[in-house]
Amino acid sequence: MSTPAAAAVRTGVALRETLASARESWTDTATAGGAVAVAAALAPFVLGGLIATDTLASGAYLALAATGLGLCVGLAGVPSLAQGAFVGTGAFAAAHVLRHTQLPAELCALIGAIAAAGLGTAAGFAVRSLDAVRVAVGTWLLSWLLALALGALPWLSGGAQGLVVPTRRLFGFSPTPLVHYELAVILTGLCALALVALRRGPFGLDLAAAARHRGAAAALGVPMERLRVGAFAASAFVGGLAGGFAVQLDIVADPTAYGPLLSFELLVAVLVGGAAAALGPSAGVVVLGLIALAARALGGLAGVSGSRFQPMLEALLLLAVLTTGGNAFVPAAIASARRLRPERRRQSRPAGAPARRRRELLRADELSKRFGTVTAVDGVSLELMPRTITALVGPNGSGKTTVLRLLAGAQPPDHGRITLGSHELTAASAAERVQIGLVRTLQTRAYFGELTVLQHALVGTNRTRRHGGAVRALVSTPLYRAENRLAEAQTFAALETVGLAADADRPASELTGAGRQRLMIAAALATNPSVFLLDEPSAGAAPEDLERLTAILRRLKADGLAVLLVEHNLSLVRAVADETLELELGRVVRRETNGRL
Amino acid sequence: MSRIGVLSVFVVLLAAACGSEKKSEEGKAEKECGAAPAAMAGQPTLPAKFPTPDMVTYTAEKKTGPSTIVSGYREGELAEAFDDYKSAFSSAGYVTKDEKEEDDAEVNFSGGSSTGQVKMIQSCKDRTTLSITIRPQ
Amino acid sequence: MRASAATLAALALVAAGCGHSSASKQRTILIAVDAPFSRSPYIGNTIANGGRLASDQLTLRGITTGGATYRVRILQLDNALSPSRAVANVRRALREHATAILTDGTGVDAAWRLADKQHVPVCIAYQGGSKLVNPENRPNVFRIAPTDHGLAFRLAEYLVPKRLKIALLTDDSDYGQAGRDALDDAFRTVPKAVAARITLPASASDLAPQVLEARRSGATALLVWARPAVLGKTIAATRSAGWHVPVYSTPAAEDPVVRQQLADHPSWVDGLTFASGRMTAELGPAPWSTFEASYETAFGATSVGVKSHGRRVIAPPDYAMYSYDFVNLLAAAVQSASGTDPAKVLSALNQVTTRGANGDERGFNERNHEGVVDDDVYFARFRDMVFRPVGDDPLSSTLPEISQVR
Repeated sequence: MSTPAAAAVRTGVALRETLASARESWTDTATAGGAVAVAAALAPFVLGGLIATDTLASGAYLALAATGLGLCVGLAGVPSLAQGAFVGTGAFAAAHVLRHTQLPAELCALIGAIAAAGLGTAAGFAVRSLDAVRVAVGTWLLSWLLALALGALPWLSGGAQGLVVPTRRLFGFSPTPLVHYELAVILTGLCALALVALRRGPFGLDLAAAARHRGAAAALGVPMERLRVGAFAASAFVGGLAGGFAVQLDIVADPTAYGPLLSFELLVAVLVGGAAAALGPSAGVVVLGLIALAARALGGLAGVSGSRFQPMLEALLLLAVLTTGGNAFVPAAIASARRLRPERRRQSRPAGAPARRRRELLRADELSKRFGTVTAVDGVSLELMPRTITALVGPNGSGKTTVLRLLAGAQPPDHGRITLGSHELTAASAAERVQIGLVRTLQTRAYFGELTVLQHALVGTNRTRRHGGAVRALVSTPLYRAENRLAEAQTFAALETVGLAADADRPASELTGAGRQRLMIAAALATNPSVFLLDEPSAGAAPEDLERLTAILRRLKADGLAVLLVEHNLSLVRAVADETLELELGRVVRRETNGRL
Repeated sequence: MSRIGVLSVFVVLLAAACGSEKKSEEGKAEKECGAAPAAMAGQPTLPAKFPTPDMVTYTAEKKTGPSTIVSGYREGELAEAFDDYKSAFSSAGYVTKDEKEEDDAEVNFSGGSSTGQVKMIQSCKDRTTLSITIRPQ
Repeated sequence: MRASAATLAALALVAAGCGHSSASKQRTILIAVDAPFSRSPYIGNTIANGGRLASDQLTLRGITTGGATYRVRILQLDNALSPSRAVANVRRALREHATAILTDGTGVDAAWRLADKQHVPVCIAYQGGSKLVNPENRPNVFRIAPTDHGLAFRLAEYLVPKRLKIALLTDDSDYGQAGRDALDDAFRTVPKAVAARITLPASASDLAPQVLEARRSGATALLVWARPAVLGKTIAATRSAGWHVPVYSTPAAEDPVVRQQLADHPSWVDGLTFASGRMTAELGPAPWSTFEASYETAFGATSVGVKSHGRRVIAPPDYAMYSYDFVNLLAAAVQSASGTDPAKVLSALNQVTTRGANGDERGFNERNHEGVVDDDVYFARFRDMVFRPVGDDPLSSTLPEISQVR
């Protein structure tokens, strides 16, 4: 068969698979989303007499910017207060390009989006390792910085009259408010679909894990900082795109329109409408519109402009949603709908054989670590061989957990060397070690919020993917989908090992403490390691849980893994360990084999 | 004195008073002009192509900050001076805005390298006083 | 009885029919007032009230032309000093078929084109920037307010002969920056009169450093072109440093905010001299007094918030005069155009004239869209919290004092 014909056949197969996949994964929520999209597209024809089309179009661009912010807040859990600055950057960049070139209008908006993405990347880089409060403050300052720059630099902002923007045809259409509105609805819909696609894919799961429990996510090798920068850049791109098109609707880039208040309003829209829901931010913008009407009415009663009441009402609404602990609008609506009509659960386990990494020897030579004047680890050497369980025991403060953290890459050693097979691990980061095949579980029973058991474990599988990037997830390439199936198979295998396969679609929050401990093991197992480090897995376990844990450890060994077990429970150690090292004051004081080698 | 007589005197006095008011109102326009002010030596510093209608004599020039005030007069009625200046400015391509009252008129001009005003006052029967303010643009 | 009732009913029907038919001939001239009501209520309300006074008077009189009677309605729209909101307001005004738009000037650069497409005139009643009005390129934009050019040149003409060394202080707002450009033009040919050019940061709480800089430059007078709050802070910094230099300013000095800020030190306001558009004209003070009385009857006197010799000080509605005059001009244009056909009204606006609130003739022509000429700028000086025309300027010395106490 000739190459073009073969390509056509492959394309046809891929399209059929895509359609089949879409049919299979179609839910009631998707139907509702489609209905909302159709209603939104028809809104100007229905509401034209009540609300002016240019007002609707402005609101639609606001919804687009808010949906972009949903990438940051909803997916990455990062409370960004800089979206107004990104919208403004897109607006002014597009305005300058429109004024000084003859480029098409849509290209100018795209340039604005790219400029905003650049700023977003820089901002994401600056806050990549900060906690939520510092991120909020830092991004708020960025909003202020842009507002002050626009006020201080008339050549940039056009002064009080703003930067007047020439009108140009938009995708071949005359740039009427109706055209702008429909464009904004289309872009918002695409962005919402992207949110859904990303949330379900590796990018979204990793971000969700990093947002819910940084420590556990780091232990699974999630590249949190890189993801956070990516989320900021994507969020800023969408915000800049909204700004780049909205400025053409407004025909003026207004320096007073992109300050901290816009950032605040966008965040309110996202939080009120639902950060995690694809259409939540848009619903939040609709709520803001209703607030504007209420503010106008209040202003009319008081005899002053309604804009004086608007920020106050928005803040009160946000406080009400946050302090009453209620769900945001769209998630609450979805939850209610699901109570009435539960969505169908997974029927069968995906087919496919899980991948298996080559088993290798881990060697640590003369590891040492000091914390100030305290020597936590002093010349510890050990070997972890495939198909063995090595236990590390000792009193509190003997250095057990420190040894484990040095091996996992959570702390760099002061002296010593670590290798895994032919790989030099001494200077490698935790994420790199996971990629190479060394994974660890935490002492605490961490879990990733409202993710399902399957999604939780999939976070581990993401480390083994080669075609799981954000762009592939958006476009859903054949390679991406094929890898998805393999990843699910691998994850199911891991869940079966720990006895959680039947709970795949349950929220992880519904598991018991011991269940969550097993889930952590499954997620770590899903990274396809050759070396497995467990930190006190039996802590707080009931007798039946200990039995189950013992069985899991034996299975890990049977699978050929090298297991390091840090434990206080000596009966568990006696039951499973092939070698036991006793630590005291950071040194190995006793080695014991249990005759199973 | 009879009532008719008192009334007559009253009417005459009233007519005299009205007459004198009218006289004072028409005073400026009707007053005979004295000797004309001396023309200034040389020509005033006016912008290039600044219109000078016929019968205009310049008497003084004063610098007031960035602006120049040129004083002068034109023989004749205010209305003629007003019309002359309007058409002269129009011919010279200036943009104008004018206002005319009974005893005074202004033609505000903009063009070339200047803006300003020509203020005209009927100072006596056949003389219209001019005050031209010129501001560099 | 039945016949009477039937007759009455018939009469009632006829009357209703007559009423209906006369009502169908009553139309509306809608004027949208686009001003910063929320951010600068004094400016916004002044413009709106002037327009409203004229519209009420005209409606009472009735404008009859082209077989119809017109009433005038004002639609108030807040632009909050935002150009994009101004554009949205103009869009709304056009949707509601406004006959004209009255504005403070915010967003005119962007919005005029929208109005021009539908031949709707836009009249600026506050901002004086020279680039805003250009009859050739913006045929639908007019202004009735003193221009920055006029204020700057008149200030230079007034101050330079006094042989002062003037420090030009402008704030970093757009008002201040536009003023700086106008002052640069006015003082370009008399550079020796300028001791320093200093920018006042509007957000600063204390302007002592800038005042000190002016003092060190050897200035013997300050010319402050800034928003009212900044002017107040400048005077406070000057006087509290013990520097009794004369301070000159623009119409911003009239804003009640300045006197409110300095209420605890009324002597600091004494001597403050400002340039503004004249309130009375050659016809004498009577027309202005009539206007002022009508304004106060309709809206009450605008209290400044301070007292002079125990009596309440009020702000005369001088800027309201400009919007008032425009509405009357517009009514004359509608009458001349025999209706509200936009293109005809716009064309007529370049032809008609009316007698303004102060007795001055108001009108435009195709090549000149400025309603207040430069030479109508006068100077006034504060004493005891009220201002009076100065005696050392040829125009100002001929003007009467306007009472500002009640």
